[in-house]
Amino acid sequence: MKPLPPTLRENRRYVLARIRPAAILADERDWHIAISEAISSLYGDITAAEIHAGTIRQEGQYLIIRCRRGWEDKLCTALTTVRTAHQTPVHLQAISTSGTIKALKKKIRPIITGDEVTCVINGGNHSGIHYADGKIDLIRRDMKGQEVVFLTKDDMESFHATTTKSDGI
Amino acid sequence: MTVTDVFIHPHPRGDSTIRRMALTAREYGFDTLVVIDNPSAEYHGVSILKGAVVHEGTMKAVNAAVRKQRGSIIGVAAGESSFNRSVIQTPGVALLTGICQTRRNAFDHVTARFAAEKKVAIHLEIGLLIACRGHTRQKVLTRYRELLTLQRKYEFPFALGSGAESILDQRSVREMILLCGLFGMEKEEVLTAFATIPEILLESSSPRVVS
Repeated sequence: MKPLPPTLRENRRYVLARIRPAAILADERDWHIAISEAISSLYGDITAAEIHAGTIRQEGQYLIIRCRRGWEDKLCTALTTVRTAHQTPVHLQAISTSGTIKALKKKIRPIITGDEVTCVINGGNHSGIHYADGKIDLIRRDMKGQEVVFLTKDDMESFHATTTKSDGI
Repeated sequence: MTVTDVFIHPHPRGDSTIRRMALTAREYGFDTLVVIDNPSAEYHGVSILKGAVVHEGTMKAVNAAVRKQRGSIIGVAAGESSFNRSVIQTPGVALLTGICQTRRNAFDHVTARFAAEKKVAIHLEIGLLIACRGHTRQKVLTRYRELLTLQRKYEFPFALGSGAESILDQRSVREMILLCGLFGMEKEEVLTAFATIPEILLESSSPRVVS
C-alpha cells in the first residue's frame, strides 16, 4: 500500500548540479552522504527534513538532486558548501532547477573527454588528463599520497614540462 | 559593472595555476581577480591585479609594506581596535581583512565611520562559510551579520572574496549571492561589493588637488 495518495503527495523540484572535477570516482550513495551532511551542518536536522533532499541520478559529470518545492534555494546554498565526496575534494555547482527530470536532462551538455597524458616535470613523471579546451588535470603522486594540480596548456611551458600521450603517440 | 574576487591564492600555495583559476573565474562570471603575490596581467579575458596582505600587527610593518608594495592592492589583517583605526587612516591601504578572527570590539561604529570616510573596504572571506563547520561557522556568520548592520548605517565599502587556493574553492557569482544571503546580504549589496575594488583603484589613481 502506498503511504500517501497522489493528491496528498508533496510537490518536488529537481536541481541539476555539475560535478568538478569530472574524473572523480564517487557513486550516488557517496553524493547522497555528502549532500545530506552539508545540509544538516548548515541548516540543522529539522530544515534538512523539510528540504527532503535525495540524489536521483548521476549522468556523467552531472547530478540530479530532488527536494521539496519552495526549498530549492536552500538546497542550492547547501550544495555550494559540499567540499568532499568519497574523501576527495569536489565542487558541486547548481546549474538549473526544474519541476521535471526530463527538462533538466535537456540541459546536460556532452562530456568534454580528455586524453590521458604523461608529463615530465623536473625529471619526474606525472600522469594527467588533457582536455580539448586546453585544461590539464595533473595527478602528482608522492610518498604522502595523491594530489591533483589544475593547470592549462600554457602553464606547461612555465613548468618546463613535456607531454606525451599514454600510448606513446 | 566589474565583478571582482578578492584575494585568491594560486600555485604554489594552492593546487591551481593562475591561468586555470582565471579560466574558471571567467566561467563563473568574474572579470577581475586580486591575487596574492602575483604580478598584474590578463589571462582569458580576466584582469589579474596584484594584491598583498600584511599580517604583522604593527603600524611600522604596515607603513613599510605600503612603501614596498606600491601599486598593489594592500590588505591588512585586522587586530585590536586602535590598530584598526590607525590602519584605516593610513594612505595606500585598500582593505581591512580577517575581522572575524578578532575580538568583537575590534571593529566598532567609530572604526566603521573612519572606513566610510577613507573609503577603506572591509574584506569578507566567503570561503570561510564553506570551509568552516559548526561553532566556527556560526561565529563567522554572526560577525558578518554585525558588520552588515554597521555597513548599512555607515556605508563603508565591502569587498568579497572566495579565498580560493584551488579551482574547487572558487564559487560562481550566483553561489556567492546565495552564500551571502546566509547572513542577510541582499543581491544588490553583493553586486555592489563585487565592484568595490575598481572603484577604490580609480579613486586612488585620480589626482588630488592640494589647496
